[in-house]
Amino acid sequence: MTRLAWFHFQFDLPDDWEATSYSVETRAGRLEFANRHGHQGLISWEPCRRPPDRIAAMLAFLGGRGVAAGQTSLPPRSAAELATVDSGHFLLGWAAADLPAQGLAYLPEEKILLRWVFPRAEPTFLAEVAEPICRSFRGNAGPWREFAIFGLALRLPAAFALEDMNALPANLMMAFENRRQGRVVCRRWGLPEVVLRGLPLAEFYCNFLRHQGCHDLQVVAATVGGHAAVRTSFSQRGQYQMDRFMGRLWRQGQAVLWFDSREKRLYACEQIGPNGVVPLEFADIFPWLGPIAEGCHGQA
Amino acid sequence: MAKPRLTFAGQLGAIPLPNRRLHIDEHHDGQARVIVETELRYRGLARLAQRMLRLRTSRRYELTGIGLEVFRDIDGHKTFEQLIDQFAARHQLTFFEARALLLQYIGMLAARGIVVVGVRQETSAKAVADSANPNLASGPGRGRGNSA
Repeated sequence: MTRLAWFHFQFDLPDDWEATSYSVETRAGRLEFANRHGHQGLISWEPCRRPPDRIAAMLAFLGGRGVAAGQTSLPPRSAAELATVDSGHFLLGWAAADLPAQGLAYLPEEKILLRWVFPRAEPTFLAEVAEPICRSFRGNAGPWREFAIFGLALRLPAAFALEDMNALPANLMMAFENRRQGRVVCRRWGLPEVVLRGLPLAEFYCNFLRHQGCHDLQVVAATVGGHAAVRTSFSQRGQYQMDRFMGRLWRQGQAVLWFDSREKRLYACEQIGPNGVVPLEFADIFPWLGPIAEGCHGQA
Repeated sequence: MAKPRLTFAGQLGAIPLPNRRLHIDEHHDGQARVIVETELRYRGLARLAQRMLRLRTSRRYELTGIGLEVFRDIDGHKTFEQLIDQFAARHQLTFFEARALLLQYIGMLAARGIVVVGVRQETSAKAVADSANPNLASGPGRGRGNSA
């Protein structure tokens, strides 16, 4: 199973499911998933002031759809035509095997309605895919919020909001920012031989950071979770208000790049903020990798 | 009659074929590279202009690295899905990462006349049938961002 963690939820998804579109709004949005056989499901989240009547909401969604070409079953018109099953936090409902199935869950603390929509409701699909997914729900509303998507997993204090995201094939970037303008940027690259072009990690990352407008780079070889890594400190021109206007440098930038040779992926994490904003501990963002051990390694 | 839209399933069943009229030159000087030469065709007035101005009649492209690897995989038998699986396994990419990269690259090769993409008739018929059933969504689309 692959773990998915996004603004309000965490799920375990089948290994071959991949996110094919995403929303970056905390308030409302959706993620869509597909495998080689096509669309497999989508989860959406939307604000909802009070617990909804889940059957009525389901009926409005399933019954409101027109009859599609090639579809033999008619959309349900009454609650009696719906079959439902409780799957953990979710109420999963469907009317016929060739109609979509829907799972609804309400998160009272966040006042958010979660809605899974699966394109079909065949009994095997429901039992082996839809129900296990709904049952695997875990909340994501603690002081630390988890993000796990497109192969990149991290956690950040809830004060950090997703500011920017760019998911290209084998090239992912997610940028987060808090109210004090502390910024965390996490990256994941595939095809390391193409990305590195034969350069050592240190040289590649320095070139990359310079291209991002970083100065005063100081690099040390390191190890992260047993992987070859480089740790870098840098400064960057302030990005907001007077700091930007006066060209004042933010001097406490920290970055780390590591190469997971088993996965054949490069990972990077950069932190920068106004002078005085304390950067996060690397081991807090990626607790499963442990702290950075400084020292030489064979591949950098 | 409107051209039927190729669905996700139809796209995976398509077979890229190398252009038979390519002139291929293999070089092994340090880095393996292949120079392919495609014929340029001029039609109508452009043909007349080509003769008068002696415009070039062919264009050369050099393929190296991963591009060359993909070009060599295109043998006229493997479907796009098989090419994706092969590429994904070789570079430890996910199915959709490999698909997006190959789609772009093979599209570029096709635009330059180096490969052509054939769609089997049964695949094409199935694709049209699939597209008539909206419950089988036509594969991953684009949302806020591209798929990775």
